[in-house]
Parts: sequence; C-alpha cells; structure tokens
Amino acid sequence: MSAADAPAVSAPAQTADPVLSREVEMFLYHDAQLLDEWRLREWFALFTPDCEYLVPATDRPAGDPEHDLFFVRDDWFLLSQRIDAMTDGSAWAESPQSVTRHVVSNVLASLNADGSIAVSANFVIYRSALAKLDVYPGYYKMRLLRGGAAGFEIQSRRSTLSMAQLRPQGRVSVIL
Amino acid sequence: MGTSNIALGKVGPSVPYVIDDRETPRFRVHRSTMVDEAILEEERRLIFDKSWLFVGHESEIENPHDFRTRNVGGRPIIFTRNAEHKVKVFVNSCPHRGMQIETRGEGHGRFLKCFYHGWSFNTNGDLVALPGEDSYGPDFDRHNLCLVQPSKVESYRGFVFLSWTSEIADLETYLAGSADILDLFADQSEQGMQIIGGSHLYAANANWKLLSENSADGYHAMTTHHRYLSMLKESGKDLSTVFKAGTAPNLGYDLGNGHAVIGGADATGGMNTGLGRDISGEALSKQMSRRERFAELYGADWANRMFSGRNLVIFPNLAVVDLIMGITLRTYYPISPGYMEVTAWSLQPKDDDPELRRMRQENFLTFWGPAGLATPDDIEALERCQRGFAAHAVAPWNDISRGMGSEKKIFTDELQMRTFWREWDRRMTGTEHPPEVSPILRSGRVGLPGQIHQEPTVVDTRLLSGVASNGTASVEAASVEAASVEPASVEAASVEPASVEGSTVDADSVRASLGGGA
Repeated sequence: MSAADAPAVSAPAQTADPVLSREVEMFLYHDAQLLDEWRLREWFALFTPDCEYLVPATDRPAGDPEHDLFFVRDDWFLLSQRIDAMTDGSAWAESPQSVTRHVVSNVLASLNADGSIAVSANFVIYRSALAKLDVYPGYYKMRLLRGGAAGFEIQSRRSTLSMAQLRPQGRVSVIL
Repeated sequence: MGTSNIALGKVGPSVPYVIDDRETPRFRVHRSTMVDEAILEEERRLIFDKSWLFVGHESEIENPHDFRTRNVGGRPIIFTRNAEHKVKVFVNSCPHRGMQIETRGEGHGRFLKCFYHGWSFNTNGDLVALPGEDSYGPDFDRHNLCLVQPSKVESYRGFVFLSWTSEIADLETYLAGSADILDLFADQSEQGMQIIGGSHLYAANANWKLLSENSADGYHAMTTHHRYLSMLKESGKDLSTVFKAGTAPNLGYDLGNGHAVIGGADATGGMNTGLGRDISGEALSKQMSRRERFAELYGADWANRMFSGRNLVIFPNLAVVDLIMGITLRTYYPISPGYMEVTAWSLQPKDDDPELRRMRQENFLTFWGPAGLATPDDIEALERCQRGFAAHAVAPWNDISRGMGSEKKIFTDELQMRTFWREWDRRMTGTEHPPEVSPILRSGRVGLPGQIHQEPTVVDTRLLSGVASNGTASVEAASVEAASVEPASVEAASVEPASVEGSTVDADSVRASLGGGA
C-alpha cells in the first residue's frame, strides 16, 4: 500500500491540545454551517491559494493521489469551479440544490512544528433530494493555518469516506 | 413491475421492444425494457449468460497468487493467477456448502480458505485440505470438489473476459472490430498498460442499458457537461483546438456484434491533453515524443488514431473511453431494473512521466469520477430518465433516430446506440436487424477508412516555454497552432466544441461538409 495518511495532518488524541481542539471545533462548526446553508463562496474563502481538497477512493482510503485513484483531487482552481457550478445551477446533480446536514465530532487538533495545525475529526453528512436520503460517514484530516476572517484557513482538507463502496449513494455531488 | 402489454421475451403481437423503421427513418425503443422485472430476467438468461463479460485487466494480478474479487454477470468471482502465472477465474462459492470464500476486494495468498468448515483450495482451484477427510469414506475424491470455473476464460491484450456458456465464439471473434480499438489502448505503452490502485465502486438508480447509451453519447456533452467545458474554458484552454480533425472526422462506427465506437478525430488539440487542462511545455514535448515513437513502431496512421479520442462500448456492458485524458474502463450490472452497480478503473501506461500521469489522474477524476465535474451529472440524467420511465404505459417510446438517414454518422449521432439495441433485440426476440452501415471488422493496425495519411506534427517546444500547467498562465496562440493539426481538406472537417455557450451542434452543416447528405 502506498503512503498512509500523511503524518503531518494527523492528530492523535494523546498529543492533541484541548484548548486548540476546542477552537478548531468552533471553526469546523462554522465550516459545516456555511456548507449546509449553501453559502459556498463564503466557504471557499476559507481556503488558502495553495490549497488541496481530497477525497480518496473507498478502496484506497490511505491512498496517495500521485499513484492511486481518488474521487476528488481539487486544487484552488478546480475547487473554485466546483463551487461556481454548484452555485450557478450548471451542476445538474445539485440543481435544484439538495438539503444537507454536516455533523462534525471527535475534533482533535495539535500544533505542527512548522506552525500549521493538524486536525482530525469525524463527520456524518446527510443529503436529501426528492425521495432519497443519502448518508456519508467519514473523517477529516486537515491542515489549517492561523489567519483569515474566520481565524483559520484551510490548506489541506482530506475527507475520507468510512464506506466500503460508494453504494448505494452512487455519487458525491456535495462538498464533504 | 412493468405494466406494459408486451408479450415478454418475444415480439409482442402488436408492440415490439424495438421499432427499426428504415423508411421514415425512425428508431424507437419501448421504455418497458427499462423497468420490467421479467425483461431483466430474460436479459440475464439471453444476454449476460451468453456474452463475453469483462473480468479485469491482467495488471491487477501481476504476481502469482494475487487475487481480486468482484461480481461478473451477477455472480461472485475470484480473479487470480496460479503458481504458473496463468490467469484463473473461480466462482467465489465453496463447493461444499456454497459459502462465499473470499470477501476482501483484493489480496494475495497461495490458498483460498473457506472458514465455514475449513476447506482450502490452491490458486489452481484444487481442494488441497479439509478437516476430517477420512469420514468421507474410501471413495472420496477431492477432484470432484474443485472450485467451479466459468465455461470459458480468455484474454485479449491483457483484457480478461469470461463466458458463462461454452456455446460462444472465441473472444477475438466475439470482439470483432472492437479488438482493433482495444489495440489502440494496449499499444499506448511499450512497458505495458496497468490499472492503477483503487477503483470507483458506485451506482445509479437507473437501468443498466442507460449507461451503455450514455458512455458513447456525443450528443449530450454540450448540455449535460456544460460545467466541465466551462471549467476548461476558464482554465485558459482553447476548446476550438480539441478534436480538430487533422486526420479523420469524428464519427460513429459499428464494430459488429453490437459493439460500437465514436471518435476518430485528433483529440490532442490545445496543449495536447484533449479535454483536460493544459500541461507544461516540457510535459507536452514528452507527450509528442511518445507519439513520434509510436509512429516509428506502428506507422503514422496508427499513431494518429492512438492520439484521437474514442468512446467504445463492447456489448453488453463494457465501456472503454479515452479522450487523451486518462483511459477509463467501466462495467455495470443490473441489480434490479432501476438500479445498477458501476465499477470503473483507470488504465495508464506503466512508464508514464509523472506530469503526464498527474494529467491523466486529474482528468479521470474530474470527468469520469462519481465526485467529478461530469459523471455526477450523467448519473443525475440517467436517474431522471428512470423516473420518467415510470410513465411508460402512457409515454412508451424512446427515440434514438439521430443521424439515421445520413450516410456518414457523426459522433453526435446515435448510431452507436442503435447498434447496441439491434443486438439487444436480436438476443431478446430473435429479430434480425441488418446493420445500418457496414460494420468495421477486424483490420489490424491500419488507419480508419478515409483517414488522411499524415505524419505527426513536429512541435517546436521553444514556442511552448513559459506555458505553465493548470491553466494558470495564458496559452499563446502560436503554441496552440503549433500543437494542433491543420485540417487537410473538407473531408477532414469535424464538429468542434467551438463555444461553451452554444448548446447545439450544427449537425446539418457538419454532414454537408462530410458529403454525407442529410
């Protein structure tokens, strides 16, 4: 198996900073709120220009995007395009927009040697459209920087689905 | 459960599944074929049990005793390689009491062990150990209890298929003209092609045949995939250079036995990435030297075809798509009439340069992935079709007539879908539908009929210096021109996605330029 989850963005419970974790938790609630309220441009403003947004394939949760298949590997430009399409109605899979609820928990944060912040957290995302309710359980590994209007900026967001397959959901058309 | 008045499994007294009216001309498919449980049962018997079905690629099981598990034609299988490096496929069900032996998606092991009663098999399928064998008596013969194998397993250029019946032509005969197209994928590396790690295991609440249609549907791209094309435009890509027909027009081709392909035109416009973001000048020159190398090996005509785009559908349910942006292999099976499971893999050259590999990865994910900027919208479209089919009793017909009256079938026509449905109807009802155009059967490494012989364009990479990847720098007009191939004649005209805003393709003018008439 190729590279495991990058150590730089892991935050084991033993080394997590309780005060920082609480601060990051509030930030992640803000992140989730913006997504659920479809304030996607405000949400996108949380990211640094050198950001990455990754979603590994369900059968390569610890995959390396240089070598393994992923679901999402967005840089700033692709993420901006994703957001634009979800906002302007050209993303048919989200037109009309679905109803979502991002539930975040088990938030752990610690300071990296380079001053960035390593975050891990669990998520459960509910997406409802027409008669269908899809649930996406998983976990975040993020690297945050201090700064920005919200207090933190996202440099790396890796949303790993805790699912053996993308079935029966079939697709990920919202932000994880 | 459908409520149609069609006699199941054969042509009904008044309403057939497929109306193939060559006079008008008009091609229609009855929507009960998408919703009816009894029709699905007939499909399992008459189509999936009587076709060569894709199992996997040999690169997935590189070493002896590597294995993968998956479902093929509704049955769980183990895809492995024995100690002698021979590819083996076994039914993933213990001969003793039927338990599924291996549930991991992939792994490695000399023995396949059923934990229920402890029976063990080697990768040749032989029963090699079982607890308490002496209780079975003196006549017990382990050879009667080997792992069950499909009736046939054959490989073509690394693509492994199985058949659940022995009453079938050999694989290469079955593949007919699609074998040529598989060559176009397999030839893309002298080191061999490989499936990279990981797969897209997804699904759609739609009938499986909708994905055979959608996987080679040139007509929907401009509207359904507006957002993807818009992304390319925003990245600085000059879309007018993509699929510019330097050597052949972008057409649809019947490949025989229900297989069909669309493609043909040079797909390497812009910075040689097809419908992907531009790459750096350095990566582009590596791409071009690959092309020159292939021209040396196989001739310029074949190399030109390799660098054209293509969407291939091998009947009934294997799509292989290469738009010079990562090759996707996709197979899909019905679980019920309104729900299919889809599995997709990325096929890449083993020896790709890191930036070219990154480009292929990006394009695969961004277009073909179930979380990309295109495939979720395809799934949405298919699911909405399926919901629309609930009205099939009062709104019974799909129309698949586009381009039926013209001699040359452009890629936005629907020849490829009619080719699929004619074979489907032949299998299901015994109705013979003569081909609409002459199928292109196996021809070897040659150009397309009517393809213009053209030496590969030599790119002056000095013109490309300073062009960064990821669309962050503007593409100089001069470099784009240098990288594209000029149309040599009216014959070579193609449909260009000239404008993202334009949601229609002017088919008449294209046909006129092709000389096909409408």
